[in-house]
Amino acid sequence: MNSELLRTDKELFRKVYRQYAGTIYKISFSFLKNDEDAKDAVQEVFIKLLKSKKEYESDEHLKAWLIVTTSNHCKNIVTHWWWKRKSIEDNNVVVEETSKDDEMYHLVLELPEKYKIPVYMYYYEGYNSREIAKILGKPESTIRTYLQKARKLLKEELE
Amino acid sequence: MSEKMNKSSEQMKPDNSKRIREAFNRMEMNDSDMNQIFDNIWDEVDSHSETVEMNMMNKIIRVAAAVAAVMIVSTGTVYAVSRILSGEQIFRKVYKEEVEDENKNENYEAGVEKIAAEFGKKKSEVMVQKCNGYTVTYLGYVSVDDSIFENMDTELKTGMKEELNNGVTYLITAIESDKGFSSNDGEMKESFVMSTFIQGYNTWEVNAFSLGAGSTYRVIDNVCYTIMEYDVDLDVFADRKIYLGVFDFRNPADGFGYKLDSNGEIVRDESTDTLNALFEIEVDKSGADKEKADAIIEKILNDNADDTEGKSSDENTDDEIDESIDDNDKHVVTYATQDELKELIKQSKLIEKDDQLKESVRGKTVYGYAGREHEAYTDWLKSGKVDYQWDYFEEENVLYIFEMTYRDSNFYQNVYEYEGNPKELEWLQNRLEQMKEK
Repeated sequence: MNSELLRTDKELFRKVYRQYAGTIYKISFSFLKNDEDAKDAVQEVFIKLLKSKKEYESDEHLKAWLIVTTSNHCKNIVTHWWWKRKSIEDNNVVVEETSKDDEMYHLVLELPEKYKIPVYMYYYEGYNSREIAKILGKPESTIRTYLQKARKLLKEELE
Repeated sequence: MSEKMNKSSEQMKPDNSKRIREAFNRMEMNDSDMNQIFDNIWDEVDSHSETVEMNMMNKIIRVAAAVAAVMIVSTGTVYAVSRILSGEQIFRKVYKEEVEDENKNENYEAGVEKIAAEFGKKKSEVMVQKCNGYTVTYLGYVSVDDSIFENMDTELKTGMKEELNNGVTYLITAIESDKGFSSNDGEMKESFVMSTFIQGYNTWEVNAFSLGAGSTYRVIDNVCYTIMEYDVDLDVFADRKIYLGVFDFRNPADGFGYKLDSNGEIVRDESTDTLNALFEIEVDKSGADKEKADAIIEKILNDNADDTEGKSSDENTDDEIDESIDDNDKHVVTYATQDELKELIKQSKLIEKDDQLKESVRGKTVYGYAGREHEAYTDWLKSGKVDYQWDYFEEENVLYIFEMTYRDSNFYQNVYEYEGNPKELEWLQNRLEQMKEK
């Protein structure tokens, strides 16, 4: 599969979109912490997909590309000064909107950025640490460290 | 994937694992929004069958527009280089107008005037570059002591100031498009960003964002002017090359469309088909301060270095955590030291040299997998360091293969492969014993 094919076959693109939009939204939301920005991210990532000139060897390859691209896209946003300023301004709103949600939901949203993707991939998607390392292009030891630290953070907060 | 999830779930504490999954489950987009976004995307494809232009404005640009206060977009046709305003004019015009009236005072006005005057002396620094349908003019930079805006809480100050507190630098560029800038209700489709990069460091890692820079834009007569403000005096980096990239923020390429080559130089990614201009800028050599520059970079890299050299032996003693992470990876033997790895390299086979690495299947397929087009080794490997691709696992009757990548002081990378039983390695045997004792 490649982007050229997706650009010319609406039904194929619809299938791909329906298959992965939820994943992209969840990742984006975990970074951006609000619905509007997460939806914007979904649009941007799929446009990047259509704009790219990549060949995808398999559905798993495509999914992995989307996960990494979404992660990079969101990281670009949250590290940008515009976002930092916006986050300060929006902080109260976000807290209020999620105040009725359970504790774990808050904790996942507040995890350090670098842990979010490994945690999502491990706990939600069911990848193992080796697969995550391969997809994210990081040493496996790093992924395990991320997961350990994230787990520890969550555990400490829950106690 | 559900099979994988079940497999992993069996070895995790069920309550917390389930709660984490439930937390992500709640992050759900409703069907109506999902359909609307699909329609938006497809409309784009339909109207631009050859090149997908991103004409929907994303939040970033909206926020940028809000911060920039006023964005004047005029739909002109052809414009000449001579129409470009000077750095002095732009600084005075834009910067003054950026700040709300209540924030202005005499000290501030004097500071702006002083900096604008400095830009007036920078005519010799002006450089022009054409790139993928754009013409970018670098109008110079000015570094000042941050006391110039003492007691001023200007709109452009960024959150990094308190942490860095190393002066202030302003850079200005002007961007022209061969096609003119598109606009939609006063907002530009394009999202230009400029960023300095430092010789020897990945562009995704050491850049304007990590240095705590902020920027503001103004389009005047179809020329997009950008002022970037750094809460750091860039002159401190004068003992190494400093680059200025001007690019489209939405460029899907990693590293913003720039690469770190094997000599530590920053180069344009030639495969990028959108704006990715690159200047090597001259700064005041007398301002070089290696100690301060290294400290700033170290601060930026510190977090990443901790990750890549992850030594969490204390955390490994947490049985619960260990158990939860130890899915199908068997027993994790832990990490080797740099000396141990360097020793291992002597017993290993050289399998890829630097130049081959960039085009290799290993570089493009394994680590280029999942959209990481740039060479993965350069992501996390620093000069003089060895790293390895796979951890060591204690498992009977299995051939152990370690890949080690070494980057020498000339920034060349070489990949080595060691095959054998790690238990024959004394240091690794010791490590195994230590792990068992724990």
